[in-house]
Amino acid sequence: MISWKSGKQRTVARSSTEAEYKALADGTTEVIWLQYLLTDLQVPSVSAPTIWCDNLGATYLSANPIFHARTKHVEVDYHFVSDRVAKKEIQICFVPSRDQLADVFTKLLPVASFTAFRFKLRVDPPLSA
Amino acid sequence: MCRLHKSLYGLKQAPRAWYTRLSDFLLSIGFRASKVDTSLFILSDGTNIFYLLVYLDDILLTGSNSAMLHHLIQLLSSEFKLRDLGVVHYFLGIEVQSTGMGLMLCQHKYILDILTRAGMTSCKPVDTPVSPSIVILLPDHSFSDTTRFRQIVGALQYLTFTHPDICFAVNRVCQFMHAPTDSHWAAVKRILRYLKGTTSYDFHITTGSSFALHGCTDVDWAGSIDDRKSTGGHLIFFVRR
Repeated sequence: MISWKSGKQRTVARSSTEAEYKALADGTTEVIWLQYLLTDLQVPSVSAPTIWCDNLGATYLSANPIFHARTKHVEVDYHFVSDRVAKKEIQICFVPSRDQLADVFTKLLPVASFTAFRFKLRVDPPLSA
Repeated sequence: MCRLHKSLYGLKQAPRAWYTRLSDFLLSIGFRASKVDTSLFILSDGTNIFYLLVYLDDILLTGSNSAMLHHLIQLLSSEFKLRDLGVVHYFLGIEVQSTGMGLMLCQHKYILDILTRAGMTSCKPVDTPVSPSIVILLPDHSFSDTTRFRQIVGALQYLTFTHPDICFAVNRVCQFMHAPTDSHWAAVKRILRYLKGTTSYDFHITTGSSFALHGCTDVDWAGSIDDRKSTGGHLIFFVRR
């Protein structure tokens, strides 16, 4: 893992899809910056980066931005995600909530799942212990 | 009024003057400045590549050819007074240890410092950094020592570099830097108690051969009780496909 962030969004979202879509936009900006950095470091890029999202609505919206009553108010700048998807620079895939790794950055978790997430983040007790 | 011929240590302009001098020299020996990160310099001659990362007068240098790397250090030391500390094991307060699989980062000493400053060296450890029972949003008595609150929380922010597990918890208390209350301080103490139990934990970065970028994003919709804004988070992996 090389980059992570947790933060409160600046605007109130009217639906979970809208909130997920905004988070997707934030994640995408970071991925794009990392891509620039890798190009600069002359690391050959393998394929378009994948971003996993646990909201079907947001996944569909990024592939096909249809504007109906529930999504047409989403600010224009967030739609740069679908722009990047259309250019095949990134791909957005759906992942079921139980396999969602970013959970630990957004909510309070019970001990068992917190410990499991911590293991996946590669924060481990020292080897000798 | 006097006019200085060269910059003095401690002046407001000193860091800038130093950066210009260093970058001018680096550019003259063939490095190019990275466009996406101003503190990164890259030198490549087709077969070999070298990276140089600057944080004021702390410099990290790495590359694909050790003989040329040595030559570069010689070049730098002919221009600047420097100390070659060999393989990195301490950079900007972060302890670095190389394992066979990659790198291991930790801030053990830093955690102990924070615990000492907060007077929590002998507290009882807990398993998670966020307590379900502390509702931190209700307005209650404002915390008396706001400076102390800000100092400790600020110190915790620097710790998230090697402790992504407390990222959410620290961000939550950071939202109340302007007006902390007793319950916010309780939340900070909860993080410190969690750190007490995980002081010796390390953060691992592993290596591999071919890589791809993977991201995960998630939100807690309308999670904030007082303004119903959502909390978002993402993490990005640079991993083997």
